[in-house]
Amino acid sequence: MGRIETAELLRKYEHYLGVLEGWAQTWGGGQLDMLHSGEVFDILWLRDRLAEARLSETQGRALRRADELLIKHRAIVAANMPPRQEESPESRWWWHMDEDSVGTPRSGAAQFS
Amino acid sequence: MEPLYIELRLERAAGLRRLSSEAIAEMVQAIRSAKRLPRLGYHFAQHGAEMGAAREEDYEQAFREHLSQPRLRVFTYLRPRGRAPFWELVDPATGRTALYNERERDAWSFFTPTNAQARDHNTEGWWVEVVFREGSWEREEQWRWDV
Repeated sequence: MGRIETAELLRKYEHYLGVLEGWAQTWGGGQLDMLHSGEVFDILWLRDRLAEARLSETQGRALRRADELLIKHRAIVAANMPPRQEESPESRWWWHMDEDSVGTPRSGAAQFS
Repeated sequence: MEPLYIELRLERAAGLRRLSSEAIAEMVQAIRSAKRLPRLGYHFAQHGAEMGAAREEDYEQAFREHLSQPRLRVFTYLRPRGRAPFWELVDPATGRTALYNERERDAWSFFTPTNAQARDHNTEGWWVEVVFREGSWEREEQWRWDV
């Protein structure tokens, strides 16, 4: 796979979560099925790449907004977690959304880095 | 690999051992015969663009065309939540993937992972592959994505 530009990574991350947000209200029962483990892996893989990317201020704000949606829908993510990556420290909170004690960003300016 | 997923693979492999080659063939045929995706509007919104589909009908047509491809790799696994058995038919050339929920006996989703190789490496200790070899279906627990 070729290198994906940061803007494209961010667009895909925002798209997943924006569609999820848009449809969640009308989904009805079985909301945990709105994502499957392949999609959750994709979202978390994208978030990993964004954590390693150099973002502009505008991109940083967009990432924070998308992260807020990820946290809002954490139950759906947690219910469909794929195997955790071996190199997933707790600072990569998005890989730990199925754990009670972690899985949300730390407070402070670096929380979304 | 986390112990939960190893346990799920062992349980899935044990379940497959109880199935004859003919029973697996029937399951694969049932998946390949799927015509429609439930919650089509949602799945199209999520994945239509990545499939180059401008309309829901185009996306569903791409799903049917995918299932007719001869060289799909066939995987099965237990989903951690409720241990529902799932099947995924993956085109190794494009990463396009159709999901099928065996318990619901229905197609589930159709998508392309952004990085198909990374996704499939992530599942190597969890999924079981079924392969058609010398006239019968066999399970392959120690499969590798890169072959």
